[in-house]
Amino acid sequence: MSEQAHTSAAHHDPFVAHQFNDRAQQAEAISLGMWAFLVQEILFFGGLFTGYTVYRSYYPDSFIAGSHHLDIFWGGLNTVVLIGSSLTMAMAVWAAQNSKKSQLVLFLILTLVLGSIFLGVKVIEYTDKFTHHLIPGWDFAWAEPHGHPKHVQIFYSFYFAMTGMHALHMIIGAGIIIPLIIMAMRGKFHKDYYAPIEVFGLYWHFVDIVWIFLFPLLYLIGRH
Amino acid sequence: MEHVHVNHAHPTPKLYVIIFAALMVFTLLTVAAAFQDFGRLNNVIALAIAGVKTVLVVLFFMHVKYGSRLTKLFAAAGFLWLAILIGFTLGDTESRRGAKNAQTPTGWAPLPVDAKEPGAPAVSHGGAHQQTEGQH
Repeated sequence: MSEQAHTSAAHHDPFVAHQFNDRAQQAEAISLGMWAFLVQEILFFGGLFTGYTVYRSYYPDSFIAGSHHLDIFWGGLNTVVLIGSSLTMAMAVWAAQNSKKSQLVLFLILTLVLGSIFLGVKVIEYTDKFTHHLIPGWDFAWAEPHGHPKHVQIFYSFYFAMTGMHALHMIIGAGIIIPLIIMAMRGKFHKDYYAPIEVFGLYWHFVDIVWIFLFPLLYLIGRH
Repeated sequence: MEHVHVNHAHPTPKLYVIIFAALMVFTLLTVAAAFQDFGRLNNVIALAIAGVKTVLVVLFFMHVKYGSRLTKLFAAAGFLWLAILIGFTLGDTESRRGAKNAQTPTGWAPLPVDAKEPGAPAVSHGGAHQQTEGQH
């Protein structure tokens, strides 16, 4: 009887779905589910990183020559911007956990703004590649003394595949964070319910980690 | 079934700012290191710095340090499989590369395609595989 009473009491907690015993178990299931997705994401990007490593090992000189055309300033700026957006995202989760509504909205908007700056810089960089005939398979020309055109083209294929897939994740992130901002403004999130903010934070930080590797691998090779 | 243990301690904004500052320092470090020549260690250093940054993000921003053992296992499994993916692929491609270039003194010289660049006539068509075979 008391067992039953306990169970029904737990199920009266409006923030625990009926299939879970308690909040801790629910929180665990939510974060594990997201991590299962992120493990898949690690291996999805992992295929690109593996291909990059194999071809860079085959054609090191051409990869370095191709990399030298990338601008460390823009790449570095975007690294700072993206890590900054990870900070604001972490602060957004903290604000949600502490029922600080206006700070939650502010940090989510800052995250969106920083993410948009990142994508804006990417547009500047891609435009530069278009004007310098560095689009693989479409308009590629390489007249510089270092690097073989065909192999530099492989470098740029990886550059666009990896940064493009990363940018797509950023765009998807922006598409998710906008409704989250609206929900936060309506007071939907508070200390008892913030799972969407926390799970989106995991996604956003993962995208940050991908860039943490892309920056040295694409922009910083053979600079000495 | 054992009860799920979740550490309810959460990082503070102060800690987040410290982690952010550390990530900025490591970003500067990786740029500075890129302009120094450490020989074979160049890539090792760049990847080690990226690895440290990743650990900081995963442990603190992604709360894995405060998560359950199962969450830690999930996170570690992702990177373990990534290591298998990259490690086994390179084990294949790099070892077959050595065999193809067995005629060179070390057996580990760069592919002829790259060695002859730029502009060697034999380079303009076909991949590395056909290149090597074409020389026989």
